Amino acid sequence: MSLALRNVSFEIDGTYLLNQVSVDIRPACITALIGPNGAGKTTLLRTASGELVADGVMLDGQPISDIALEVRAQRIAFLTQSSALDFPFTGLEVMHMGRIPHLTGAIHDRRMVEEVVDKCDLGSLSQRIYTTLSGGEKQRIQIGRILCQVWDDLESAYVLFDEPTAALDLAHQLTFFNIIQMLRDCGAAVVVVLHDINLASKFADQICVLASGEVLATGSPSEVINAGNIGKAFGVSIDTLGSSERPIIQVRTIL
Amino acid sequence: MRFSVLLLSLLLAILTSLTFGSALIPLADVFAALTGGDVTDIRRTIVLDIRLPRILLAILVGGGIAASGAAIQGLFRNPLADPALIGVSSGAALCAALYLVLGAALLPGLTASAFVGGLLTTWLVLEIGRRGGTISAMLLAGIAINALAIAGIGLLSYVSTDVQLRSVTFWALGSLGGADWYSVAVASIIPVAIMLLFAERHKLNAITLGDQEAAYLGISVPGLRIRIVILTALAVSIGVALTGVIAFIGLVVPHLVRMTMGSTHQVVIPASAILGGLLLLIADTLSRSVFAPAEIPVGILTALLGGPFFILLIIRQKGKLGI
Repeated sequence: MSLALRNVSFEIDGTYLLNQVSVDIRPACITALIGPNGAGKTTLLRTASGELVADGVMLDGQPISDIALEVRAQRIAFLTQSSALDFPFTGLEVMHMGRIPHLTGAIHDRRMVEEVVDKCDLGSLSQRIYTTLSGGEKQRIQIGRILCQVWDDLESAYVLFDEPTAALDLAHQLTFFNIIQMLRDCGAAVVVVLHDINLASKFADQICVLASGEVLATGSPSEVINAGNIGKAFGVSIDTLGSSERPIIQVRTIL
Repeated sequence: MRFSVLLLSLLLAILTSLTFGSALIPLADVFAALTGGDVTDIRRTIVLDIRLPRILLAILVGGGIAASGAAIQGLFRNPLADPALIGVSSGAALCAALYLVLGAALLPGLTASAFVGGLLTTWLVLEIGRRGGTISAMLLAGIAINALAIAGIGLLSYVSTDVQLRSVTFWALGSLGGADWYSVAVASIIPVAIMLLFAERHKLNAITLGDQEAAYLGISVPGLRIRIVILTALAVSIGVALTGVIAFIGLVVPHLVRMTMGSTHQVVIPASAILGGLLLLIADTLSRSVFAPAEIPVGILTALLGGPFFILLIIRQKGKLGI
């Protein structure tokens, strides 16, 4: 089982947002996507999920565009950068929306949502009105919704997060990474776009560095996080500190 | 607020409405007329052939407009959207004006012309929106088409005689005065449209998250958009064709439901349908009782009552509405 991108290109009006990109999104693995603004990280996620149609995206050996939308929705959950929810739903109601692709019945759905609420410590937010929550609280509810979508069968799930930690405070960032580690340990494939390279290095099993729509490097944190790759992708010089297994970087100057 | 409260209120409103009007009919006589008991012929006719069809028409039309409002607000992801945004009311009004002023009809009769006009303008908005590709494109198309229709009505008013102008204006204000059993039969399509909207409740919940998010929940958004717009156009254009333009019900009622009963469309669609019917029935009963035997057009009353009430709610519930 895997979600594989093989030489995937995606262009709009002659500009390549992705150019011959190959990435393996594997079960029981946290893949972090890093790269400068406009590198194609979000485009990669949207292509991998089948939203943007491109040749070479295979889910379990089958072209993803051949798989029906509702079947895809049972396996692939995607937390986008911004949800425009403007209706006074309760937190719990928003999380229940994650169950929409499933025809598993109200009792089962309620149990799934309750488990997620417990696991993610969302009890205090579940009865609050979504539109009155802070940005970070909204994000936690949305993360909960994404989990509800795939909670039945984590082993065959692909969970994609586009910059999930931007609105979260330190403690909730840590909670988020604990959650995705738990998802990984249950067998889920997790892909997460991160701006903080040190968080990627600390928590990812595989890091993919993107720049200008191309993959510069893919591998474990120790293989990928070095002055060469980071300099090429971000145009900054860095010092690496910490363990060689999960390096920590410190930015020195703009190159 | 619970569904039982809503239904009980509706029942009370129906009984009240059967009793009050230019002639006061005691409740005992109302029951007698309904059950075929002993009552004068005039009272029987008033209850069975004048008030009852009018009451049913008010409930059906009000319910259709309010349920459509709820669905359209979900679809546009905007709690301030109104069924009028998809051009259905103005299109119907334009065709009504064409009929009243020039005698030009798409189908024989004012009602049929207005109905087809509502559907046609909605189709136009849908088609322009489809070419624009996004939900905002459809919203903007609706604004443009509304403006054109209003310009058309203005032009027709300009060339009309005084008598014609009066009938155009009066029609645009909305009235249930023309209700009879035939119009109730026509309006019985409205509950079907409401049930089909209710069948889309989970998808409407999903689409409030965003088009992209809805697609990730397995929903084909373009198809949903077309279905909701067509069902809404159907429910509202039948209402507008039979009664003229009735303001505010489609905007205010879903809000009231969200504030008191919750926001999921499992609740909002059916509760809006009942509350919309209830409020239009109350407004219509007032409109024909307060200055009896004269009648105020009910559209004026819904706007007069709905507007300030809505303002009050906005001020009280700021932040919670999501606007």
